[in-house]
Amino acid sequence: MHQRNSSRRGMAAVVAGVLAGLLAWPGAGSAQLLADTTQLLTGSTQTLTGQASAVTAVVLGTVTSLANTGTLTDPADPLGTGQPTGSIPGLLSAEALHAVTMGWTDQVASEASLGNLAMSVAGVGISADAIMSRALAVSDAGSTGLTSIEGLTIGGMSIVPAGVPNQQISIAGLSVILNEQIQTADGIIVNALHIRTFDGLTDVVIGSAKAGI
Amino acid sequence: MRRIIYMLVAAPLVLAGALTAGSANAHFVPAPCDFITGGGWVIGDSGQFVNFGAHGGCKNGAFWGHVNVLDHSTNPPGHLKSTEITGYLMDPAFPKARDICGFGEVTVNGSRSILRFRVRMEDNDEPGGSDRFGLRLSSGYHLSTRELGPPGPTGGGGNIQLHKENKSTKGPSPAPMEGEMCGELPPP
Repeated sequence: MHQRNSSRRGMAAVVAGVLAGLLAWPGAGSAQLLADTTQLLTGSTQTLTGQASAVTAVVLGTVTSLANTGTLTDPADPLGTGQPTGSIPGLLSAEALHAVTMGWTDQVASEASLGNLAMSVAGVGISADAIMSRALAVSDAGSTGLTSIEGLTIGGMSIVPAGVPNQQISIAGLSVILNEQIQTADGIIVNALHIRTFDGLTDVVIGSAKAGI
Repeated sequence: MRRIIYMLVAAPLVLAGALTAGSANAHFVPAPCDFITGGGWVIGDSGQFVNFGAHGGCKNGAFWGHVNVLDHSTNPPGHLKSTEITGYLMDPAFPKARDICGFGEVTVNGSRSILRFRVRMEDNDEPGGSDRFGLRLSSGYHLSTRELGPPGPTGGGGNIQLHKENKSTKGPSPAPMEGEMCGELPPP
């Protein structure tokens, strides 16, 4: 009996101590508890995915990326990069390369652009005044993509994009896709210009933006 | 007595109005901070292409961004590459515009120097033809803010996007004054 009473007193002391500790916890700690509880109740923790690059090229298995943001993981940590000029010897050169990816608690936006593109793939000359891609993924509202390709010429021919996603153009030896939009499980990948050789040895994406939430 | 009450009520209102009017033309850091991004080109005063790619905003209690500009009035083109972002401002007279200030490496005809810059980017909805871009450098270079315009011989191209505020990121606190962010450079 004595031991039981002692045990009860001990338990009461522990409970009182815990309560006192909770009461003494600073406001931020209480807020954190509340936030954690809210997340447990609503499952509202969002996973962000975002990335952008002005150029990504795979040539004979070697991957080269120009103005690549890296992977977005946190709405408090937007990522961006840029360079005045960029080139991949024997393949392309461009100016004012720029890529950025940003997250909010309810959406992700990514963007890539460059100007004055001059490129040669399998002997076919490709140029453009400016290229831009954008991807936007909004929680519970889906995802959208947008591209802008201005002053495009391929093999000396002027090409005006139709403005629809995934416009394919067949040029001797090349597969060209304008405004490529690929839906993913959580969002979208938008490639402004995607060029591949039929032999698979060269694969170049100009202006790639990815967003998911 | 009524006159005293009137004075007590009216004086603070007049003072508040004066302060508001006085700050109407000031440029300040938007709060909460937002982002502006964009790329494209404008036609310079000599008819040359000026290509740009830029973004700005706030991050981790500081200003954040990158600015790259190439002006084809020289061969090879002169270029600005930002090395430090010192300010991100809005102008109440142009609520869709943001200014990005900083220091950058400027190379013209092989000569390289570090200069202060101030760019203005303005998002006037889609498509981007009516968006605007301009640049000032502490060297005296001035590309007045102009429309990207429709692609073609008289216009440039590209697109600028003003993104919504992000409460997860913050600028410096307290926000610096315009002169601290941009030196003596006025908006382009």
